[in-house]
Amino acid sequence: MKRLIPLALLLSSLSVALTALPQPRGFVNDFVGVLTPSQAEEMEKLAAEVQEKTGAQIAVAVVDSFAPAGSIEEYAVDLFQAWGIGEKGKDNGVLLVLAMAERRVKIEVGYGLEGAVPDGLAGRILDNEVLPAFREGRFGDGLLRGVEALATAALAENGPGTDDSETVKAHDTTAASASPVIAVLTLILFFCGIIFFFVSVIRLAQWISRGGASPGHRSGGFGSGGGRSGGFGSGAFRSGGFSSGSRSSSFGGGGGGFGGFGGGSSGGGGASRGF
Amino acid sequence: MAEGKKSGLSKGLLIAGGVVLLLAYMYISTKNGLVRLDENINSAWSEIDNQLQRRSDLIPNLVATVKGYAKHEEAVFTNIANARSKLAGAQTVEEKAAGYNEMQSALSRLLVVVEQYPELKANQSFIGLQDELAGTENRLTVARKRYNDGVRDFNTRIRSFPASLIAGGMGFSPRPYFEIDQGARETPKVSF
Repeated sequence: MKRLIPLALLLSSLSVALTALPQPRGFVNDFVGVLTPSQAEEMEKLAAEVQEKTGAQIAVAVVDSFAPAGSIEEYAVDLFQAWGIGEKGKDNGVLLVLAMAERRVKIEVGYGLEGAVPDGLAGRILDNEVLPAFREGRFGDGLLRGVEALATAALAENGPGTDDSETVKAHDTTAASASPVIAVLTLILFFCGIIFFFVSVIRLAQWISRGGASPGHRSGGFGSGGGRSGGFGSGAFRSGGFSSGSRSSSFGGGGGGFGGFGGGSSGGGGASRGF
Repeated sequence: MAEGKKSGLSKGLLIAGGVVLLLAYMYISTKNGLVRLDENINSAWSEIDNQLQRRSDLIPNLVATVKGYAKHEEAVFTNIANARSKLAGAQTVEEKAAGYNEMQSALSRLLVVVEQYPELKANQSFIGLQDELAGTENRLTVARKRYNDGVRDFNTRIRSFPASLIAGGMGFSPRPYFEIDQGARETPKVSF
């Protein structure tokens, strides 16, 4: 019984951690109920258009509170990472998140969109488009105008962000996705090597025990063993159809609708405001 | 009889061969694991470096904007210039952390000055610069967390079995944390 208590605590804290961040349902995620259906639909359309034309993904989240995170900055980074907004490797995602209890709103920009939406512009969008409506209690309007401004910025910028950040991120993601693949392939190779080694030694032992195996026969045994190893080796490579360990939840998403976020990440850029 | 001896020998060969292969595999996978963790740290560090540089580049604009309104706060401006050149000369992780701390206290003194000039606070360029600075600060926070997490994973790994056996020989030694003074951190927050 004593042993069960720490286990139960661990499980419950895990489930709290897992349920603390909500799951996305679309580009627009109102977990509080401040948006009218037409506002939500309008924003979804804009986000879908941006994705179709540029591949960039705009996400909106309205939450009760950013707790247990210490700040909306922390929360926005965690949510962005958990949802994987933007295309993996390109990191062309932007998150507009509003925490009602603490009255804070943040625009979190992925590295790939920092050319289109630098921090200064994010701040200006909040000041000029979002906050005026928020101060009058019109949250839906404020968010809609924010998304409009973000969409305009994203569509205006045609190419990806700066080269430096791109290569850093690309390096990150390829390194992250390559190593488990390589590790598993190595594992398979070695097991095949072990099996092949065992088998060829057994064959060698059998031929020796048959007595009088000529050097020619022996090397023949190794030769055909080598051939078989080649067979195992290429077999392992062929069966190694591993997908990179990405967070991608896309189901053929393309123009016209939300097909899941692409696995992009952010580094904490953007701007935030209280109101 | 001869057959018995020969099969005993080949059994030994089998076992020895299997053990050798297993050890070789363990060695290589341990080494690859260390290399991967090391590289994670390197890329997180280059992100910290990027953001420190970016912040350094923003500072002159910020100072120029403030000077436009508060011409006579020479001490504050000198502090910032000194902190900036110290940071530029920093090489190691510890030096950069120290430089960061100094720049933070210089910046917070600047912000105290700014509080006394409401027209400055309302100035659009100034607000934009503050946003840029805050964005950089935030990115530094995220990069620092990723860096320190990476360092912790790596340092733990090389001190535990089995990596501890080979880490020294491969030239892997514990890496330093990026320690900044939490108290000095002041993210400029603009609210209305």
